[in-house]
Amino acid sequence: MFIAAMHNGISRLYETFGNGGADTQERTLDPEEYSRTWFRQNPPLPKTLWSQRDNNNYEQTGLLTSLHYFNENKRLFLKNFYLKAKRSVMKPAAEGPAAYVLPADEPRPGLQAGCCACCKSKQWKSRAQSQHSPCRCR
Amino acid sequence: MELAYRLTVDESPYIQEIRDGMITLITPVVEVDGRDRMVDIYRWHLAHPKDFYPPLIYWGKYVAHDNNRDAMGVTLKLTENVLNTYVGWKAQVLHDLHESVPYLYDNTVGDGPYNAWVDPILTDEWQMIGARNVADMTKFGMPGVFTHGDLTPGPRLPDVHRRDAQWHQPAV
Repeated sequence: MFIAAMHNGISRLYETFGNGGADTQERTLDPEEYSRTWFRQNPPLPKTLWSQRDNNNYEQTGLLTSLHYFNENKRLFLKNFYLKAKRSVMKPAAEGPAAYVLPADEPRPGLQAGCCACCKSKQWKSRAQSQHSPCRCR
Repeated sequence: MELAYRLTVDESPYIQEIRDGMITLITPVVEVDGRDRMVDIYRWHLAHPKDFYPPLIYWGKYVAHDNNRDAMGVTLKLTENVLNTYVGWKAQVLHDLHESVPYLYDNTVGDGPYNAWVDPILTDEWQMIGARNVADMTKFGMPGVFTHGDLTPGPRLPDVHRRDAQWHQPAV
């Protein structure tokens, strides 16, 4: 799913209840699984007969509601898609380097490793501070 | 495949609206060899219902659940296939189906912390779709649907090694 997040799209993921096979089983949940909490006001049942059909019903319903919602708001999401791509292209110029290329055949690997450590330490400093750093690594 | 059938022929207004406005790509099985192996074991289980029913050791030839960690390295053909399809179609959403906790955890939202370098437009989209998903399914009378939680939330970009499209899972 991170293929989408890394290409300016939207990553989505469901974990849906399953029996690890196609057998229908009576499933008894642990209290922490069926408890009512701040993020689960409509909890699952403590005990249920769960089948592959139930699993498919939940996944299919979730996907259809998501598809329908996305369709209702397709202009907004399309504009977001464009803006995320545009912002990702602008990011190196606006906020500094987005990536470093480290040659695998570097003749001085020790110096390269030192520069990497230096750059890593700079991540925790402000950009202004790092600009005045004596490090000359590229 | 039932979803594909409904999206293709269902004449209800709800489905028609999706069909008219969206292009939906479905990959029923990404790890096809693993799916075959799992089916073999399950058939053995049906023929020997009283015997121990072993799990798979490997899904692929040398790969087990680490096929679910290959998004950044793209070391597997199955990841390459998903990547090429996704990029080739310029898709906007990739929806991954897993199997675990009761009953449906839309764990795209998760519980954070999110990687601070992720575009806030994206984190907002996670919230929008996840929250609407929970609301709609609750209105349908389906218990156990939630979107915040503490199970390996996807939005953490360090988890980039650990997430990819759906695999051999029989639920899909």
